[in-house]
Amino acid sequence: MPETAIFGKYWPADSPIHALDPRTKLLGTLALMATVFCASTYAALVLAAAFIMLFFIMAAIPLKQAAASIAPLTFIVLITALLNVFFVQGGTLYVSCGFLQISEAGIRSALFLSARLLLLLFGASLLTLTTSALDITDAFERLLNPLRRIGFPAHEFAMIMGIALRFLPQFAEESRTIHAAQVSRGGTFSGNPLQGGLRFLASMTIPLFASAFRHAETLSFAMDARCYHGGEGRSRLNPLQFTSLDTYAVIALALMFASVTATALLF
Amino acid sequence: MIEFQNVFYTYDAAPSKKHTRKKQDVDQEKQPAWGNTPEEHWALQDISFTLSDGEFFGIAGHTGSGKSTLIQHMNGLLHPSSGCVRVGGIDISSKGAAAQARCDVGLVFQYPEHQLFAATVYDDVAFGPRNMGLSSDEADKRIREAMEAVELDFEALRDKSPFALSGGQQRRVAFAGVLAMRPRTLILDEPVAGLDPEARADFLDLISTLHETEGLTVVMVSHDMDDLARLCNRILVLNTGKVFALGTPAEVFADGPAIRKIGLDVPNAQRLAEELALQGVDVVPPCGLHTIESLAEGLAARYRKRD
Amino acid sequence: MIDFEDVEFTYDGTSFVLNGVDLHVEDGEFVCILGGNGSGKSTLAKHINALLVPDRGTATVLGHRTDDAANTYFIRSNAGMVFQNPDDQLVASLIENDVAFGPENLGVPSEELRTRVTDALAQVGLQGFEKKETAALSGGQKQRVAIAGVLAMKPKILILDEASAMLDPRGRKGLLRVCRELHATGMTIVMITHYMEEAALADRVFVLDEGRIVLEGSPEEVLTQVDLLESLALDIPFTVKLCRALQDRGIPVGMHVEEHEAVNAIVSLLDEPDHPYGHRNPPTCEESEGRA
Repeated sequence: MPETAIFGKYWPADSPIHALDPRTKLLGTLALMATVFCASTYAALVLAAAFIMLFFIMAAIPLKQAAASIAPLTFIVLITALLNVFFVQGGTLYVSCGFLQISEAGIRSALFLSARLLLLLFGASLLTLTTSALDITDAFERLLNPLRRIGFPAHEFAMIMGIALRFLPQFAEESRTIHAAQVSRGGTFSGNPLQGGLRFLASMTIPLFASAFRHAETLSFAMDARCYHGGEGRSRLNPLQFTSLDTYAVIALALMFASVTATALLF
Repeated sequence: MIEFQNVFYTYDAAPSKKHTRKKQDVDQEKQPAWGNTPEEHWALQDISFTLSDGEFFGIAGHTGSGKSTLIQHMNGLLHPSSGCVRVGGIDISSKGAAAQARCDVGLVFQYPEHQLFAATVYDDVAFGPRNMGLSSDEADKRIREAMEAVELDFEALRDKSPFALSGGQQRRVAFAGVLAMRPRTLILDEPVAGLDPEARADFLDLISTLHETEGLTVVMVSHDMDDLARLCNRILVLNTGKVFALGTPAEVFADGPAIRKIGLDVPNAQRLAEELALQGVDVVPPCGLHTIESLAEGLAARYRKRD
Repeated sequence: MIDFEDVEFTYDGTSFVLNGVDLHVEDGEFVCILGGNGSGKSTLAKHINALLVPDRGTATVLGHRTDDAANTYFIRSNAGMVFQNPDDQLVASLIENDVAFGPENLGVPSEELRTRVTDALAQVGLQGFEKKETAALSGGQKQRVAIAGVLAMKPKILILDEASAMLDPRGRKGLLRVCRELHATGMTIVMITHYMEEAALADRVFVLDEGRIVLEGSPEEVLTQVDLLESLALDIPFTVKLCRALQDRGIPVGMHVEEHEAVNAIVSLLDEPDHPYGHRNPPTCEESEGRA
């Protein structure tokens, strides 16, 4: 069966970036995004782009794969660009056609913001390409752990995310079957949209809900049978550990942030 | 009548929903150049057969041999990558023809109770007829008939939530939902999967009755060779997407070792007869394939002879 | 190992699903519990690992009472359970994480966790599968991962609640092979099923009907009681059906549950002198002379 194209699906490789602690990568992604936001000039943006490209090369991710991983979201960039082109006014007027007005400022703004958005997407996808969803969940749990003292259920949150991720392909498969079954009974979106269309939609979503409940019931028994009792006293198969690699990464990220911000201020 | 003519199918070359302008080179590489796709990517290879009206047709094969893919071609859910599927003489590769085919060819998936969704049993069974655009009177008639056909009490269950029923009842409701469309062909994907022995026997009886009394063409995918041998006029055996054997149960199960090589087995009585034959006790079945009765008869005859 | 004395249980307070069950399973036994739909077999299974607790009577597992909450984790880690739906037991996307789930819950130290995962996967024939995704497995493989997840807790008892019901024949065979191998290493196995081939493998068979054990004994004793089994809407093993059909036709063959036993019995009854001997004894002089 064909795989669905998921944004930034994990791309396994033997690289220093892959080997980093996922917490470093999670926080590093935030740092990357902050950096891109601080790049308020083209010069700074180019520098930020260079850093990101460097990270991609270090992560041994082919350009084609990087491009493919953000492909599903490039429509956001397009929409942003269009919005800027049509709604930001200033400078020389290029096109004036009734309500439609395209001016220099609009085009400049569109170009800059699109470039920045693309960089953000690349930065985010670097995380998901080099870190398995499970590791990201683990990182979340460890980072949010201190919040347990104020009552935030970090462990439960991570457990829910982990189970949800595990069931994603399962539900994808089940929804395919449910869809096929309802189409086999003549279900279709064409025809009366209000009655027929809604009914068709219900025929596909309700069975998935029912299935989720069914799975949940037995799954909870199975978890109980394996002595699950929440986060207290649990050990971990692959405990997260910082290494010297993470220290270098932090230094690299600090350098990146500093240099990009400086460039933005100076150029 | 359903006709398969040199049908090939691969999931890789299926038209995807990806926007063409976003298609990257990396996806192009995966597209098979015609004829160059390595064998593993073909879910179905060169499938040709004709299903006659009123036949009870069995489909067997190891998991992953292409059974599900094959049956989804029969009602137009999937279209061949090459080759042609005709239902009643009409090529069903066009959207309109496929939609029409689904009224004539009913498909019941595995664990069909997992597709129930409506607030009441009535509404769920009505889904098919309503999609066909039938008048509410005609739909009502068909719903009642369908419920009766699956031996469910219409009045008692019509307003109940399908989720409040037992597993066996749910499956019957799902079945009724397909029958309410009055298909002339019924395709069943492992209809008794997961049922206990009593429910199993009941359900198979139901299918058998529908086949005989209504004259429906039935296609049944199953892992149980005894069921297939007992019920089917012909059996198609698939192996890694190709036709391994097609014929009457006697023809298909004649070669025990060959069948076992592809991960299946012959019906129990036949297998036992083979075991006995290996020990020198050859009992010839009266009509090609052994049943418990024929085997017992044959053995009894030999026993009486030796006296 | 497992001692149930007059166990009664109800879900809703009115109708009793278990009506006085007496069950005793010895260390290292392979027992099978047969029962029709509604007989209470799944409910009974859940009492063995303290998922449910009797309303009346006592259930003792490995010397510990199930109704004492202090015993719960001891019992559940020693009486591991595999359920019917392969998909409803796996909690992690990667196999190694799922297998480690049980011992992680028990707080087993990280160094030991890795060994347990590797050993458990080897025991079910899935060595090297650690980094594979659970979603990519067949039903039979998923069930074996589920068993590995239980084995990683190092239990003494393995409970299989209709674990093969949703598998194809190949998956079922793989599962049974794992069970036989585990039994050979001394594991106590309790198999809830309605498949006769599985019941035939057991040391002892119990038949449950309406919350009570109505029949108990070796597979030969239990599975040949055709009339009783039929009245309980249970299936009959194929070989038993054949033996009965032969008996109906006047052939004095005994009731056999195992296939090769039945074959041997039939062959020796028919007594073919001019056939290579195989399992049978060569004919005596009188027999050959009598034929001449």
